Amino acid sequence: MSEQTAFQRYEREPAKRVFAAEFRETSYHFKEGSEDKSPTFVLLPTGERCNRVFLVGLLADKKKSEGDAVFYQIKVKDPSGFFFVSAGSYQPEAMHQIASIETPTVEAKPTYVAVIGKPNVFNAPDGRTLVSVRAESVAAVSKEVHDCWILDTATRTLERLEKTEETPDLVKAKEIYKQSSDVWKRMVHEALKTIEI
Amino acid sequence: MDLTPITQRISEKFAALGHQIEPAKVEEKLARMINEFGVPEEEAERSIVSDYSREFGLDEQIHPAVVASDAPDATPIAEVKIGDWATIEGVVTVLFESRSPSVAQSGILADQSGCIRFTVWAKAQAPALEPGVWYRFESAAVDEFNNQPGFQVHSGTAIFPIQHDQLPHIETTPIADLKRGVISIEGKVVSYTERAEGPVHIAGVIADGTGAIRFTIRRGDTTPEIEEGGWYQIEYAVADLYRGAMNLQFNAGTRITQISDDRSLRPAISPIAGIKPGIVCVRAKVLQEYASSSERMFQSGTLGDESGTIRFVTWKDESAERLAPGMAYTIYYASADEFNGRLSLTLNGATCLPDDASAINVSPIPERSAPETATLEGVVTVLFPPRTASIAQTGIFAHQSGVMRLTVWANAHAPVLQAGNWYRLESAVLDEYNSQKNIKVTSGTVVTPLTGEATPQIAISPVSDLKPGLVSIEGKVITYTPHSDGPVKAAGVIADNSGGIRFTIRQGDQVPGIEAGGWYRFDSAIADLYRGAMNLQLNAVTRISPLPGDQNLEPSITQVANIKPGIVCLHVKVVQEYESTSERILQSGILGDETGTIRFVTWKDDNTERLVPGKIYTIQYAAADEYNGRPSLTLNGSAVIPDDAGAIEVKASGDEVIGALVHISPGSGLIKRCPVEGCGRVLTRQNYCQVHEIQPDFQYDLRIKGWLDNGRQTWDTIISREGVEKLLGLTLEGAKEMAENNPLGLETVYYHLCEELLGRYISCQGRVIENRLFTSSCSYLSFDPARHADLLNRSEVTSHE
Repeated sequence: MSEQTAFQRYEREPAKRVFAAEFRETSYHFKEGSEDKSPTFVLLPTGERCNRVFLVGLLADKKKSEGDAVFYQIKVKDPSGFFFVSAGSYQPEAMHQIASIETPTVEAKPTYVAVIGKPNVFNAPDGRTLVSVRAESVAAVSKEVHDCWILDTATRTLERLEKTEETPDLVKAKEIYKQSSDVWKRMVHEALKTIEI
Repeated sequence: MDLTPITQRISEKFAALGHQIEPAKVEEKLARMINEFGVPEEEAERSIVSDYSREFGLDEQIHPAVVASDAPDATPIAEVKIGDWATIEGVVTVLFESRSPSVAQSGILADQSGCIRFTVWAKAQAPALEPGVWYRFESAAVDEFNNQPGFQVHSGTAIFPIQHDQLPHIETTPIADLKRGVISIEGKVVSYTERAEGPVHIAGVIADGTGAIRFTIRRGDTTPEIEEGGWYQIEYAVADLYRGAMNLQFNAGTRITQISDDRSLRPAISPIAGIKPGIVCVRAKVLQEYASSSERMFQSGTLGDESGTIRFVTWKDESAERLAPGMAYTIYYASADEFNGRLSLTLNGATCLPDDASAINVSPIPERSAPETATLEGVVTVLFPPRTASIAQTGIFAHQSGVMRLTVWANAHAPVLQAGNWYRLESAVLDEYNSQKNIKVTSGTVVTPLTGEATPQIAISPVSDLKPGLVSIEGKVITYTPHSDGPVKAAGVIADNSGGIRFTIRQGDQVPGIEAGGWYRFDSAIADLYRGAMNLQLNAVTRISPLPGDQNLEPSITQVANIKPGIVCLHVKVVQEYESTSERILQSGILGDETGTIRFVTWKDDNTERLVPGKIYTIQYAAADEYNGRPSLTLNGSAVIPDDAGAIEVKASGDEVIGALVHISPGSGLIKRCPVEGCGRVLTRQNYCQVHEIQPDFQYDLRIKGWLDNGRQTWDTIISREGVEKLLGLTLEGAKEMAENNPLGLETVYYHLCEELLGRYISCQGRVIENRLFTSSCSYLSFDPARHADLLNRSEVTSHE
């Protein structure tokens, strides 16, 4: 037996940190490799591939669709916009977690949630390309976690913007997305400003 | 969690048997079992496989059912993987004596592809295995054995002897191509020797046109019916490596058939450069003959051919034949061995036929460079009994710039050296062996004893600058401890203002009395490295003179990060105290300063005190050692002075990882571990350990298995009990209570853990090994206003505004 098979380890894709405004503009997706089980990625406008995201925001809306297939849809708000997050019967853990979080109402205290999931690009009936997150896990968290996430996401977004190496992903992103890096830099700045000191 | 690999495995398994299953369905079932019901992954996989098997009527094929079925094909031993439940077929080549009552038998099983160790547990109540018999093992558990796969026969394993007529057919292999395992060869017995004594009864060599192999038959084993000179077909013998060379073993299952037709054997001659350990034929010229260095040796020298040279040796026995220098020989079936990393040929038992010397063009042997010689003055510090008659004396010789091994050759006819005396060695030979320096007294060396005025004066050095060799220092004896037995008569610590050093006085060395607290000048002591630390040996040549007056000693403080093995003074805080693991330990824990942390231990004795966790101390002259590759401090004998005024911000050692906990695997939370010493495997919910079976007296533990992710990298993370307790604010006892008072049992703790920790930012101190993180010290990350301000500045858009 070769050492390789004995010690082969599972490499997990990191969960990218991205603000809603950038995520919403993501439209290009691709597959790495030609096999059925090859991972699929979306290409972020700031020039990095992404097949998992970690996001924290305010739970803004929660809908349960009844019928043949039960699934939940939630909206999560960060300083720059909304994430559309769904969980169906293929994500029973996330579905369960969403079900147990209180539905937001006007009077209720704001609920922050952390979501770990896969980006999913699809075409809406009206022809627009939309991107959502298929949740793997959802957890109710404190405001402090949200503030930490803003710092974390700001850091990672700036790192992507400040990267000078012309990677194939960056070249491709420049070709597809039209926004200048200043747009994203401003987004980061505005997001940071929402934290009250 | 990603169930794709399991889904794929299941659907491929059935696809191979001609049944298509929709992966989505499998994944859904898996997800339900794993995520909703908390079924462990392996268990879920097994249960789904058995469901589908039943559905397709495949029970026999997928399940290793305990019947002597023509069902699952045996896995070749070379392909057995750790963690498998394998069906294995092979022959028992060796049985070892059992060292534990829980093991009924252990030994080695071989098949065509290789060999594997096995253990039959007493609990398995398996029939006794016999060497030389082939068996089939169904559902053997493959585990790790010294980093190699081994398999275990437990009560669920079925064992069937394989009849002789049902053995797998094994193709005949040329001898040069043999690999480890059960083999068949055809060859001629070219040497066959019965030995009167020792565990080996018969030794010999079998050859074919490609090469030759040694065989041995142990005393007590059945003697095969073979004769020197005969050709045989040998089936089901076992080839295995012994000292780097392939060796053939016969056993009760080995079939030997004489080949009646007349065959001629053309031995394969190998070039000298291509010789590997084993039996070889060479055609070579005798280049050199050495003077014999041992009584038992008949002849030794160097052989050469076009490709290279090799040493040879012939030991004294009836068959020993002397080779003439300058002559060429064809040497059949000599034994090539590796000795001290160099190959050499043993000619006993080989046939040497004279050959045409002019036909062999020998590549020139590299000239041996003239040995380096030197004249040194120094002290013989110790003498050892020599191991061979060719050496008169061996020992250690210390001089001003080093300490080296000393060898006096018997043929040097040198005067007998005395330990503890000074000598001048003129034209002694210096060499290096295994990176150790040697000085050799040969017949060309002049040895002069030195006494009194003639012995050299050695200048005083600061203690911290000492290098191996003869040294002189001035210092204060900090501690002096006489030992009642053992090779060391007394030990202690001497220090000056530059540092401290351990010293020893050996039993039998006459050294004038010294006392703790006194200042002395030590002339001609021997400094040498011992376990990585400089050590001072005081012996009969050391002149010790008390120094007058009271001198002030100021210990020089070492920072924790700079600690090397030796004697050190530190200014540190007690970071942590461990629970004592031994009767003999008074206290152990961690000390730290601004530069790092170090483990410490205090052994129980009359005059040591416990340190108070959190307090700061100046520790003078403690012993630093390396233990398991990490520095460690022993406080016995050192002076410990509390410092109530100081403040130390301790720097954490090890790796720090900050990230979000993005996944918590089942198997986290309150778990049960196997109580068998050294095992600690996690038990299934039925208290089953995959090695030690049902363990009702398990031990509880708390842990998290999951993924920590910082957006650029993810770590397969294990947080051990202390870390989980701190993050959850829940002790192991509390977790047990929680599980006991809830109908969900252990899973309650898992759900609680996910609720509290999933998606949280934590900072972990621990060890990172590739993408794995092991930590027991974690805390929640809090918002950092300074970082916020910095990011606001960094994200300021200055252009086009």
